[in-house]
Amino acid sequence: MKLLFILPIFLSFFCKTIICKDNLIAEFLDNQINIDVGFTGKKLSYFGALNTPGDLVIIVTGPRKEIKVLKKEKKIWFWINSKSRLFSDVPTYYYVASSKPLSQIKNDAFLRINQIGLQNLRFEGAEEIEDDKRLEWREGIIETMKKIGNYNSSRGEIEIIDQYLFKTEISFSSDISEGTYIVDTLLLKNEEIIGSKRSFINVSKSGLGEKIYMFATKNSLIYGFFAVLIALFFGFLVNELIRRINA
Amino acid sequence: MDIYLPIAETSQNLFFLLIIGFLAGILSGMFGVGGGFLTTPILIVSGIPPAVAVGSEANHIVGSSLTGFLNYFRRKYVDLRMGSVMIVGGGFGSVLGVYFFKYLSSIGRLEEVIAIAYIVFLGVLGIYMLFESLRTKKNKALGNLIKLHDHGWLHGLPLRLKFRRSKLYISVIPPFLISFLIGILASILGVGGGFILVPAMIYILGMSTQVVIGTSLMQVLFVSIVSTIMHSQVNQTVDVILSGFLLFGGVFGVQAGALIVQKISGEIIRMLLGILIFSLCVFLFSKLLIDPGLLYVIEFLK
Repeated sequence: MKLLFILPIFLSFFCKTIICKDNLIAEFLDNQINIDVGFTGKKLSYFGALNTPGDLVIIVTGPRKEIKVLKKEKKIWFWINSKSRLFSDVPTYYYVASSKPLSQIKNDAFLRINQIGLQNLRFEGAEEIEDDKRLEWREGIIETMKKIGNYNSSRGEIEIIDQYLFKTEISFSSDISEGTYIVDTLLLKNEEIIGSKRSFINVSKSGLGEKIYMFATKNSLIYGFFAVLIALFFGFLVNELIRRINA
Repeated sequence: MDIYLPIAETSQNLFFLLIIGFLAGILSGMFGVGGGFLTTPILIVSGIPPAVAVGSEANHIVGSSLTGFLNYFRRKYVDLRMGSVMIVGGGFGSVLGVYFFKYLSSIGRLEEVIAIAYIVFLGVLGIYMLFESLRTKKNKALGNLIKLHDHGWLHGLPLRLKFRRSKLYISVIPPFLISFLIGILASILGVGGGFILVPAMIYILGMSTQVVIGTSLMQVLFVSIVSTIMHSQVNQTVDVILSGFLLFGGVFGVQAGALIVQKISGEIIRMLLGILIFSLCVFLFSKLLIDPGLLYVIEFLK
């Protein structure tokens, strides 16, 4: 809920800066990721030019989702799932790249308010957890997300060429979620924002993969029959093959 | 070469899938079982979400069990009457199993129940196969014959039917109950259940061994069809790309299996399979004991 209040302020802040301080341009070579049967992850190149030299920060946030977190605990000898909690507004993907370490670019309060950097991410939900335990769960979620490759564990690099051109690469694993990814680019000088730009990456299933997914979720009963038919066809084919070989 | 599985929502190596399918095919060519008890845990360990591994494996078994069933049916090694009784029991069981599966998933216990059930079944089956193959080997050397079955309390129950092909005159209750329980198990574990059904039919029902495999395949085929449709409808966890590649790998596996059977003696094969199954059991068991490293599991909700 808190986010609902922060977001409009955050957005209006950005819109203003885009109009007033148009000190940078940035674009993707390709901002569409199609998840088809051959999809194994993708790297996108993001580049642009600056009006005036400065420090750059790029933040990529995947669609925010509700998640169910299971915590494993050792009971007697066995590791089993002991507790489960629901969290909401958890970014399914998070990546920060900057031209310098974040702490050298902007003060901590600013980074925390705008959720820049993994340590400043906030998740909602699971109100039943006491405050001291909450931190533990949050760390757990972030560690897990890093392990499965949805959050980047170290700060990404931005290459600045001749002070005015910049280039970076953003990589995505094959496990990414569908949806719209928000890419915020900030240009700062002496801790002050002098330029910003918001772009989007669209991730969607496509081709055969999409057709199968839609079929399975929209017409699940017919899909079940269809799956059975394919398997029966294979089974029959193999039987015929064996018969020919043995005959 | 990797391939993206649209329902599992992850990518997997294409050759890995073909090899697993091939191995399952060898098993079904040699023993007439679907191979689900081996395939599902391997898929889970390799990173396919457990629910998708189970649903897609049910679909895979439809194909592999049809191959075997047709083979036995042509040679008339199927007791259709016994099979029909078991289809009814298995059908009810598998429908119930799918709902139970959904319930386990909703309370966050699915993964553990699947792991523990596999550890128990693979452990018992592996040890049993090892001992049985060693005993047969010894008996063969001594020239002994093993008695088929004893007449016990099972044969005194009501609703008796004549099963001519099985050489039995027994109540329909035991085969119904056995197939009902195996139906539940099949839906939860993503197996056809042949590996439990076959020994149960021989040792509990005392069926004539000649028709046991064919009849169990008839039940497995039907149960896996029901289970696939139910998993698609209730849990949406059937990945046709995944099961398609397993089936394709199986095409070659079944033929290899049929050739191996002719070359190597049965006890040796059962012994090797016993060792394989038991090591898989030990592996799954060790995963429960060893510190998992990641203490949190994240599930994305829509």
